[in-house]
Formats: sequence, structure tokens, C-alpha cells
Amino acid sequence: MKTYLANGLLFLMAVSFLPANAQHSPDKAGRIEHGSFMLTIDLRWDIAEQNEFARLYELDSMEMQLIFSGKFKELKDSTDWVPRLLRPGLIELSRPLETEIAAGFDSKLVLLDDFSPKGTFMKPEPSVFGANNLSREGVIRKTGNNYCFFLPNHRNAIKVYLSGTFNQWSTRQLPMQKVDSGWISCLELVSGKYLYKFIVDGKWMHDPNNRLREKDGHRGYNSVMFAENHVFRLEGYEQARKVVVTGSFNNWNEKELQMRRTHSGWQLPVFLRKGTHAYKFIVDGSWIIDPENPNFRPDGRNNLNSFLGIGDTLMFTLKGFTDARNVVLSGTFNNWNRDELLMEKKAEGWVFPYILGPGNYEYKFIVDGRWITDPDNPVTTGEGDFANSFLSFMPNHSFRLTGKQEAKDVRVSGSFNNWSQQGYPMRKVGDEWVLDVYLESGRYTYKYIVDGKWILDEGNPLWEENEFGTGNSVLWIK
Amino acid sequence: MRLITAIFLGILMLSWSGVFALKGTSGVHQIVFNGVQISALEENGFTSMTIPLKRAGNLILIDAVVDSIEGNLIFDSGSSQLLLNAVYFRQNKNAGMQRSGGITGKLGAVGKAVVNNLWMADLEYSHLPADVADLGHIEQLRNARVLGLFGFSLFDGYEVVLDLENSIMELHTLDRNGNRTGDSAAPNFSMELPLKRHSGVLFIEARMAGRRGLYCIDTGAETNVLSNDLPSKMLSSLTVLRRIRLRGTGTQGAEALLCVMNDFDVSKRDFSGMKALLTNLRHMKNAYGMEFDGMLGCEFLEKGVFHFNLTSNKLRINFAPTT
Repeated sequence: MKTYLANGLLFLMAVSFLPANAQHSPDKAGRIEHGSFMLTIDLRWDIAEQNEFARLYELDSMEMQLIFSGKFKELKDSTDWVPRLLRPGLIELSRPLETEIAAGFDSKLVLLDDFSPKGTFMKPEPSVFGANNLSREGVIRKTGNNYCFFLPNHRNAIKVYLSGTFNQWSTRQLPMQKVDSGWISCLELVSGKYLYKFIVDGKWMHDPNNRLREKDGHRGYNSVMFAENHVFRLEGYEQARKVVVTGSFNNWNEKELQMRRTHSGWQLPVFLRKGTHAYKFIVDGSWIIDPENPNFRPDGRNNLNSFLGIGDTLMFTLKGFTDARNVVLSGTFNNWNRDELLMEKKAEGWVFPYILGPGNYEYKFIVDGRWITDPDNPVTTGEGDFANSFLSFMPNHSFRLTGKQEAKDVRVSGSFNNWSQQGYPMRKVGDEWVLDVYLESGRYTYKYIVDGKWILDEGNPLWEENEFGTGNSVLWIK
Repeated sequence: MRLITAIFLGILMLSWSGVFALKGTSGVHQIVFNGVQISALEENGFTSMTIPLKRAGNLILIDAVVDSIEGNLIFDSGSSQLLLNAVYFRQNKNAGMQRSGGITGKLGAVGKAVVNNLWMADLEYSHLPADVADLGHIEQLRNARVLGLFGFSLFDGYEVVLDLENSIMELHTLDRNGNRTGDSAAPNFSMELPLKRHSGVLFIEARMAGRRGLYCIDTGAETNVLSNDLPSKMLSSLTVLRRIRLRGTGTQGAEALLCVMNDFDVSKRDFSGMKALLTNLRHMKNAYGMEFDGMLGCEFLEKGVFHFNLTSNKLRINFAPTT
């Protein structure tokens, strides 16, 4: 009770004599004086300022609650902060610097958790679409899936290499060949977005003949190229001044992708991420569907859109529910649009063929307005009302666990599913437990869950320590 | 600590001869020191070599192959000797799939190994002693396949030129007096400092708030670091920006204060305004076996082109015009 009273009196004193204009802001609260770390706190800070203060100086919620409710004695008793009233409304906390940084630092490499990612290994911004923009024709030539990169001049160079995201920025895998007018290197590329540079006698340089580039995080640039997989074509309209193609892939941007005039119309080679895309042309401001494409349908908002699919077709099937009036397919592949993908009724249930690219997808069926998971798919993410069915289309990796024939339930969980507690269920195939998934290139950690027990992958020699001292298996996908 | 003071210039493994541009001299020299062989992978040896550096965050990486495993090595001049990533080299410390009881998640080295062959740039090293520690969190944070860390000890006897603005490193061979043996021009420089070498790590003298002290050159530090047991007057000259978590070669972080250095100079050239982490460096001082005031990391090293002469033990710096 005394503590309560003391706290209350101090807090009342503190807030009742606040000056009209406080001079302290959260970002200037910290200082070092006489070997102590000190924080000056204005008790009139609003919630946003309090949150900023807590973020900057990593005060936990208990400390913040004690400070701003005036429970200074409890703060002193339960932490190593020493509070002091400077003047009405202004509190100073101090603690010895040695205590402040008692954890110690015993390592050679200094990394900051919140360092903004930059540099060679920075992942390129994921791209749904793109078109190349070269200032000199022919410096990137395509024949099928073979792309030749040409760097003019530099005839006195001894060695020139091509390095980029297509070879994990290796500085030695792709030597360029010297030709009459420069250097050339060819490689097979699957459709997609790539960052690259040349290395001329050991020195990095971006492609001077490519207008597309992104900052490399270190005062330089990475060149950007797209391995194309589709050409938009519009025949006729020779008198038009400008034709733009727009669609779901670029959020219906009306200026971004201007088509180029040909002898008989307009065209634009592009990269489009595999999957189904809605699109239209804009001819001198007028929106039209693609007259050559019979595949168009309403978008649920009284518009017609042309559709194109790049990739392979997956047949979504919902068995039963033959009494339902309508069933809609909705998922991450169409941004959970609840009107677009009306399924077709068959004798045994409902079907919908849909073109998808390789990847992992979540989806649900909407049966007469009621959202349900796929009853024939045991793999789900989330729980309860938040559970979605999960599928991996054109997977590129198989998790395989052997020697657990007696197990009743085997799952895999890892960084790819945010270490889901329930994991993804694996299926028994012969004497193995198997799960096929699609994983983007990069590094993953994972474990198997065998009848509820988390274990390392004994078949994988790569593993690292974890915070529990039990280790995690390590996997790299190229 | 094993200092490598010998350089082989020979003909080995042309197939791995990579991007590194070499200027050659004739003749083949073979020297073995402390059982470690070093060879240059070029027909005629070399007198200078340009190595493209890769950057992951502010870390500096070089393509390497260690005992047939391809990946990257981080250039960490704060490392006394090679430190391998246990994710790939666990068996080298005879741990197999058994976890070492000594791992705390915080400590650096947890085992020892000997590398049969290490190829980096156009250099090959043999019979190289190394520590082994879990560096998985670095791979995770920086999305790069990290085989290990190495320091200046692998470049002993060379002049090492670090040009972070252009992401390149140059190696130049030197004679006994520390002069370049090739025909490349001696570097322009704005400043020359003596280098103090201890435990394979380089230190220079600098001054903060009027006090002279030794500072470690640390290419593995994404930001500068200061010791929190400096005199009160020096600490009071810092502006505190925030508290921060930092990570080392272990999996756990330590607390630190991110500060601005308001009164810092090297050979009377003002470097005020750089950021620094204020933390407890006692473990590192014990590891190096000496007292020092802090570590100068990438923010300092990006101020110009640094020439580390590892024969004459001099540092020459050519500062960028804006510095």
C-alpha cells in the first residue's frame, strides 16, 4: 500500500507540473554520462512517441508499463534501472554501462540483424512480368532458350566473365569468348528475371548497353534482363498512335508496357510468370480485348478480359456436392477472387482446369457461398476457420525419410512453412515417407516430426545448431 | 596462430584459373612454411592479381573451393586464422552427426580441422589448419553459401589493396623490402600509417576524444565497434542512437548501443560522424591477447582505397575525394 502511495504521489508530481513545451523527443533520449547509460523520458509522450521510444531503446512492455504508469519504485525493484525525477514531467533512468552490456561480445564477425539487405546476394525483387530495354540491338540475342550476352570493345582485356543470378554470382563459371568486336558468352536460361554484371580483368561493370538496371546496394548497378516467354501481338491498328498492353500481371497499369510497331500491327515480347493472366490492349486510350484470343470471360464486375495461360494445367476437382447451385475456386493464384473461377458441374462433382506455374498454392472451394477446404487433400495450412488447402504444383524437391516403417504419422516442418507446429503430412511410399514440394532457390532449415517427435534428417549430412541445442537440417535449393 | 610467410608461384590446376586477372613473371618458386603450401594457379606465376569481391550486406566474400566443396569465404580481417563452417566441415572435427557438448550457441570455434586443399582466387593452399564453428546463421541472414572466414594471414607477404567502392581486391607480390616486384605503379596515397600486427590481426593508432588508442582493422565488422570500458570522457563524446542486437559467429546475439563517433581522427584526419557499436570487447581482447579500444569496420574501409603492405607493415590510404 505504501508503495502504491509513493508511486502515485511521484507520478502526480511528475505529470501535474509538466512544462507547456517539452523539449525531449524519443530519438534524443539516450546518452552516456559518467560511465552510465541514461535515458531521459518525457511522461507526456503520446502513444506513438512511447512506441518509438520502446523500439529505439528496446524496453520491454513491462518496463514501459511501469514507467508510464508512474510505478517507479517497482521499476527500480524489478529491473536494474535507477529512476530519478529531473523536474515535473521529466524522468531520468540510468544504469551502469557494464550492466547495460553485460552479455559481452565474443565473436569476430559483427552482423546487424536489421541491416538492410544489399549487395551481390540481395535477392532480386520478385517479378511477375518484364520487358527488355536495350540501347543497342543485339547485345542480348535469343535463340530458343539460349541467350548470348555480348560486351562490345574491351579488346585489351585479358579475361572477361559473365556473372549473375543465373550462376549465383559465381566469378569464375562463365568465361566470355573474345571475338572481333568484343566478348561473348552464351547460356541456357529458363524464363524469368535475372540480374547480371560483367567482370573485366577482375573489375565489375554493369552492361552499358542495357537501360534496365537496379542499384546493387554499394554505389553501383546490376543490369536486369528478362528471359522472355510470350509475345503480345495485335494485328492491324496501323493508324493508332500508341498501343499499350495491360493486365493482372502489372495491376492494370495503363502506361508501363508500350507495344512496338511492326509492319502489320503491334507486338511486345515479355516475360510473364507462369500461371493465368487477364489482359487487355489500350489503343489510343480505348480498352479492347484481344481479337485473336477466343479465351475471354467476365471478371465479375461487368467487364470482359482476355485470358492467357503460361504453364501447365491443373485440374481442380471437388467430388460430390452435386446438389450445390454453384461452386467457385479461389486461392492465392488469383488473389482469392471469390467470383472469377466458376467450376463446372459434372456427374461426380465439380471441376475447373487452371493453368499454373511451379509453386506452392493455398486454395479453397466456395460451395453456395460457404468456404471449405478440399476434402480430398490432407495437406492444409493454418487451423480452424483459417485452414486452407495446400498444394505444390510441379515440385522441385522431395523430402524423403527412410527407416521409419513403424511410424504412424510423419510430417516435415521448416523455414519454408515458418516452422508450422503441425507441419506438412508426408505420405508412405514403400519403405519411405515422402513429400514433394516446390522451393524457391535459397537456403532452408527443416526437421521431420515422427509421431510427434522432432528429429534431424539422418540422411542429410548438413545440419546446424539451433536455439534448443537439438540441431536443424540444412538444405540449399539452386 | 600460424603465420604463412611463404608463397609458391607455380603451375597448378589451370582448369580452375578464374576471373582473376594476373600479370605474370617467369619462374617457379616453391616454399613451404609450417607445413602450409601456397601456389599460384597460373602458367607464369604472377606479380599482381585483381579479385572481384562479392558483397552480402556489408560482408566481403570471395569464391572458393575447400576440400572439393564450392562456396564462398568471408574476408574477415579480425580472424586470426581460417574458420570453417561446421555445416559443411563437421566431419573434419570427428563429430559426425553427434553434437558437440561444448557448443553454447555463443562461442566461436568448436573444433579443429586441417584443410587438404583450399582454392581461392588463383591461389591454392594445402595442409591449412582451421577452426570449425557453426556459421549457419550467417548463411541465413545473408542468403549466401558460406564455407568459412579467413583473415590477412592467408595473404601474408603480399600487398593487399582493398577497394570496396569498386568491390575489388588486388594482391601484389613484394620483395624483401616491401616494394612491388611487378611493373604496376606504386600507389598514390593520402596517408601512411604503421601497422601493428598481433595474433594475425592488424591494428592502427587512432584518437578519440583526445586519447590515442589501437583499433583493429576488421573487414568482418559491418559497422565500427568500440569497447565499453573506455574512459568516461571518451564515452561521453558519443551520441547514443539506439540499443541494438548484434550477432557474432555464434547463434546468439549480444546487446550494444549504436552511437555516433563525434570526435575521432586518424593521423589528424577527421572521421567524425561514423557510427559505432558500443559493447563489451573483453572476450576479444583476451582472444587477441592485447588491449585495444575498438574495431574499424566497413564504414571506415569504404572511405578510400586501403593498401596493406604485409611485408613492410605499412598501411597507405588513398581517400576518396569526398572524404
